[in-house]
Order: sequence, then structure tokens, then C-alpha cells
Amino acid sequence: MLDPVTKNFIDLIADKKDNEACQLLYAHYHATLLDFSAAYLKSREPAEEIVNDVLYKVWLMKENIVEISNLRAYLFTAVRNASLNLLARLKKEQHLLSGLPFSDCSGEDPESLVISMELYDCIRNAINALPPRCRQIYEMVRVDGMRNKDVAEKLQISVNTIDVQLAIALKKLVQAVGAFNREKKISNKI
Amino acid sequence: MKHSNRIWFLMGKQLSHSITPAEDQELKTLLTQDPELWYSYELIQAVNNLDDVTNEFIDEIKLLLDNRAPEQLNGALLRRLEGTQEPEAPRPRKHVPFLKIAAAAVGMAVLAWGGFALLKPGTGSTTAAINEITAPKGSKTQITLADGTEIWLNAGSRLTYPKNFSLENRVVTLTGEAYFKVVHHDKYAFVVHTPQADIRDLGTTFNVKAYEGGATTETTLIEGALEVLLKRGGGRKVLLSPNEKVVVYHKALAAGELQEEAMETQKVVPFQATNDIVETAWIDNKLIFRNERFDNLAAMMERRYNASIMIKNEDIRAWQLTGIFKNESLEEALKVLQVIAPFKFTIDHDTVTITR
Repeated sequence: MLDPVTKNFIDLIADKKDNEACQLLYAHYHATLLDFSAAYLKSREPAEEIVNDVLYKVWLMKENIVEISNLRAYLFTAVRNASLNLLARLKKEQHLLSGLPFSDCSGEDPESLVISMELYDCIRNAINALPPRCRQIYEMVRVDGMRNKDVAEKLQISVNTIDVQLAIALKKLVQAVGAFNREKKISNKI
Repeated sequence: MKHSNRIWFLMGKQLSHSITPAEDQELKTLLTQDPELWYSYELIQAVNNLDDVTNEFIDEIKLLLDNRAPEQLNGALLRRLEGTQEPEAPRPRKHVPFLKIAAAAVGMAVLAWGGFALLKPGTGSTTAAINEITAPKGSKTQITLADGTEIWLNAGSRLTYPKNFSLENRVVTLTGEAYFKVVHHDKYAFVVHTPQADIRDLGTTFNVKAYEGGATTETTLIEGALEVLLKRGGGRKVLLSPNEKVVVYHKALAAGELQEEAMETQKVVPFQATNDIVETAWIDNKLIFRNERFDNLAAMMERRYNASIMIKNEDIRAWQLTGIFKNESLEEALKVLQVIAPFKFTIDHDTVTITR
């Protein structure tokens, strides 16, 4: 299943219900993205500008929205890149003012951001590298959409064990993606 | 150390649909402290969705190829597909061999989807198919509907909604108790039907309690705006503001008394000792009761512990009790009650007998 909000959004666009699609976009993502951007910038004012900008850009290209497989990931990527770019620019200005040399660390191009095959492989590999039980539980939850209780019942182990195994899985996966993102940033610089 | 591992637990609970609103908030706070980690977490979730999309994409095409009219398929798409029909190597999930190509074509997948929906035989039939979610006695359930609305269902409750539930058609029917976090839409209201009243969301977060055989229907608004419409007696309407609740008294309603007495709006008063909102404490696994009749409390405990409780002496039923249960077992809870009320009990399997 396509994530429900993306699907709703695409349906509304297809039905030419532009106003509703626009409202859905804002109602669903504005607050979360604002928190996300502000987490980078430690300030809500520039974050507000970035989020509005990203949402507006997505809105303008709505006819091509089918090229975005997952709206949420797309928006998060765009907001992250814009936030990092702003941070880099601020840093640069600061260094110029203080006369120190600066290192350019601008983020990648925010327009080319459907999830890359590399990233996809990275996550798939990380899942495959999980211990067998851990992976089984993670996939039961993610692929089959089961609750921790259902998995516990099916495998005849305690809910507590499920929670622990899921925590282990997430720690490894998030760390793998984190490492991937850092590496990518470095290789982009070169 | 323990603290730093907390975030993984919370993520796991969120993904396994078993997170409480308080934990949800906690997770969000932790994520805002580390945006890069947050971003990684979002990407992991997105990749899962990508799997699903490609899966559907493959299924749709297969269905078309099996059933009819391959000529309706875009030629390029067909060639692509034929090129990937052979599984390359044994991989863990059956759709994985297709993934590389399919993911590249994911944009098309979404595009194709809309087209295929038109071609698929049998769609558009108007059977009123219904989905049903139940939380059996002794456990709670959390679901997220297609419009993004989150619902927590208390023990011994049932929620039904049409299979074609969508943003434009947001109607659910509730028996029992549920906490709703509705994704608001200016144009499309979210409606909860209960036997005695209909509740129209004009805002966001609220709790509805309408158990079968219960004496009241109670709707508590936490955030936003809400409209409660009485089904009988001329359809009286009440508009609620945050931290208000409306109580519908079934008996008064049935007796045909004045509607003013069958329906009452009250202020929500937090539980003094803990500052919890009594009406929604169940989501965090707490049972709070305040000046509650013993027989009402027994009914709540029956649902919470999946037990049956019999009160033998008539006069005990009307005792008014105040307190809070958190992680107690049924027996422990009864012992706690004995501290404030002089009664005896015996437990035989799941049947509790209470005497003076």
C-alpha cells in the first residue's frame, strides 16, 4: 500500500480538487516539518520560511507528483537539505566576518531526491544483516503490519522480548542509514 | 545508558502500532534533539512503503497479464517487465527480484495505478463492505485510518467503518470507548456514530465512551471543536469546547423526559493527585475512578481484566469509590480497594465474588 496520505494527495490532484489537496499537504506536514527544520536551525523563524518554501515548491510541481514515490520522505529530504544549506551559508558568513578559513559543506541538490537505489540497497542490506530472529520480528511488524502483541503471540515469546528485538533492529538500521548519509555528504564535497 | 536506548524502544513501539500518546510525544521530543537521526528514521519508514508500492505494482501488472488485454499496457512498460520476469537468485522476499527495476519505475507505478484502477474488472461495485476492528476484553488496540486519523480502542470495544473509507467519506461506528486523534479537514467532517448520538469532529482530539448496556454516552473534547447530535428527541445539538464533556443519560432519554435533563455539559476536572485527565487516562493504561459507584467500577474492571465480577450484597453496589489503578493485577487491585472499602472477595479463575 502506498502511504495513505500520499495516495490521498495524488487522488485529490487527479480529481482536480486543488484546494483540498493543498490543505491536506499543509494540515499533514506543516507542523512536523517545522519541528524538523527547527531541530537543525534551533530557531523557528528561518525554519518557517524553509518549510513554506518547500511546500510551495511541491505544490507548484503537483502535476508531476507521480514522480515522487513517497511524499513524506521527499518533503523531509527537501527540508533537511535546505536547512543544512542555510546552516552552511550562515557558517560561511560567520567565517568571512571573523576572517577564518571555511569548509564548504553544502548539502546535495534538493531537486534530485527520490530515494536513491544506493540508499535503498543500504537499508535492505542492513535489514538482511540483522540476526535472524530480530529480522523476522522486524519484518513481521513492518511488512505484515503486525502489532507487538500479535507477533509475541505468534512466536510464543513475550511482548517484552519483541520490544527489545525491535529496539535492536531500529538502532542498527538507523545507524546504518546515518553512516550512509554522512558518507554521502563527504563524497559530495569531493 | 538506559536512557539513550529509550529512543529505539519508542520507535519500535511506534512501528508496531502499540505506542501511547504520551510515548509518542516523548519520541517526538527525543527526535527533535537529533534531526539527523530523525531523518534516518524517516528514510527507513519510507523504504518500507517503497517495497509496498513495488509489490502492488507487480501484482497489478501480473493481474492484467493473466486476465486480459496486454495490448492495453504501455509497450515500454511491458518490455521492462518481461526483462525482469526471471528471478535472479533466491532472495528472502518474493518481490525482491523485481525491486531494482520496479523501484526505478516507481514513478510509473503510481501513474499506472490510476490507469489500472479503471481497467480492473469488478471495481465500482457498490457492495457496502465493512471493516471491523475489535479490542477484546483485557487489551487495547491502536489503528491508523487511511486519512491519517489515529484511534485508540479501549478494551471490550468495537469500531466499524466502510471498506471504501476515505477523506471524503469519514464515518465510523463505535460501540465501547475510543480516543480519536482526527486529521482535520475543513471540508470533510469526521463522524462517529454511536447508538444514542452522532459526534461530528470540527477539530482534533476527543474521547467517546458508549458501551453497550452502559447508562451514559460520554464525549470528552481534549483539543479543537466538536458537535454532538442527539439521535432521539428532536436531534438536539451541542457544541463542545476543549476540556468539556457532554454526558447523555440513556434512561432519561428513553423515559422521554425533557432533553435538557437527558443531556448535560460538564467541565473536565483533572484528577487531583496526578493531574491526569480522568476520561482519557486509559490510554496510558491507568484506570481512574472518582466518586464512582462500586457496580460501575466493577464493570470497568471486568473490561480491563477480562474477568466477571459479581457483587452479592445489594447495599455495597452504591458505595462511592475514588482511586487509581496502574499496573496492578486483578487481585492486587481488589486488595487496594479493600483498603478504602470493607468487603471480602474470592477469585475463582476469572470470576470474582464480592461480599460484605
